[in-house]
Amino acid sequence: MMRWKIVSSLMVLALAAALISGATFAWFTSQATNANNLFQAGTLTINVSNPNGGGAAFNVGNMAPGDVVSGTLNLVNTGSLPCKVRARVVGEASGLANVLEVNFNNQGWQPLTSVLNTWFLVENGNAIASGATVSLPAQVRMMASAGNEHQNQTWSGDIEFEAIQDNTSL
Amino acid sequence: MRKLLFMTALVCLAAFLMGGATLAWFTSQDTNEGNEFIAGTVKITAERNLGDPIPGPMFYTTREQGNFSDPSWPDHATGQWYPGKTETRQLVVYNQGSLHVKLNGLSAEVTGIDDPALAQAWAEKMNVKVFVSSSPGSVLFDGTLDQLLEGQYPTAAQPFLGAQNGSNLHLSFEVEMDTSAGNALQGLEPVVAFSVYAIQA
Repeated sequence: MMRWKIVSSLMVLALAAALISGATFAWFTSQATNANNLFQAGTLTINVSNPNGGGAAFNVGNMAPGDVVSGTLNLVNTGSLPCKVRARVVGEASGLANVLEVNFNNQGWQPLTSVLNTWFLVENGNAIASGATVSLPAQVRMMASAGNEHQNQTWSGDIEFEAIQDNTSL
Repeated sequence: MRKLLFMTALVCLAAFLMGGATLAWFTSQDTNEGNEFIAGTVKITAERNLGDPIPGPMFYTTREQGNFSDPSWPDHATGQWYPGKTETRQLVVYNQGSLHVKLNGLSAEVTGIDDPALAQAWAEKMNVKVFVSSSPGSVLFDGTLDQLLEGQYPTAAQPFLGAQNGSNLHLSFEVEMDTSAGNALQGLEPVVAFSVYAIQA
């Protein structure tokens, strides 16, 4: 009886030592692979240019009250994904800005100061397909009511465009 | 006198044994032959399946990349990926072995992006959920792809797959490009190999 107790104690100690030392169990295993899954990310880029050459759509000097000037910008979806685009005019609401009006994309005449820094949707917020070009005509006029205090004043600003993927709201 | 006889007999017996004489006890022997121990096999295979019999990847951008040269089969091309895009595809796992198994691990390998840091960043923005198609609550994995890149990842659920011939299990792989994925991930074309692991049940 004593001998059996000693033997069983030794077996328990050996098993514990094997477990503590990280002995591995060689279960049967298998592996299967599904390869070549391709996740090609699209690209979202736009390009805005002046089709008449030059950079800015407008570079006007020597304006007088009542003058109307026209310009056009071409917006191209140069990415691979459809996108929505919004735009805004950025600049100071001072000086000559107070007597300028804009008619952007044939939306009607509005005082420049009322549209400054305000986003509007290009193509009414509809998606622009990859590779598509949108022509954006604009007109600017100096109010006929502009007085002499505006002589020799200047105003400069930027037109910013922002594109976002089609599945997102602007 | 009697003691003398007994001692003499004892001495004779001892001499007989020391001389190597054999004892002819009655004995018998029989054998149970032909005992065989054949090890079973654990073997799984996997194929994509959305109603087509064409082997190939689950996720592919174009029909050609999905190996759909036969025009009679509709493809399930994903198109290009962008933040917020989610696609689900199915992988059928077959038990081709002789033993019952349970699926206990998943892993993935990404190639096609040379910059390891960019590959890691991409994998962190790809959300992956793997579940049993017939039992969406039986989820094997729900996390980001980068968690599967370090080798076999233990699954939460361990679905059983019997050893009957042709036994199979449909797994759904739901993949989403996270909405926080930034412009740095534009235009990438990573290729992923998904692996499924099984162990005897």
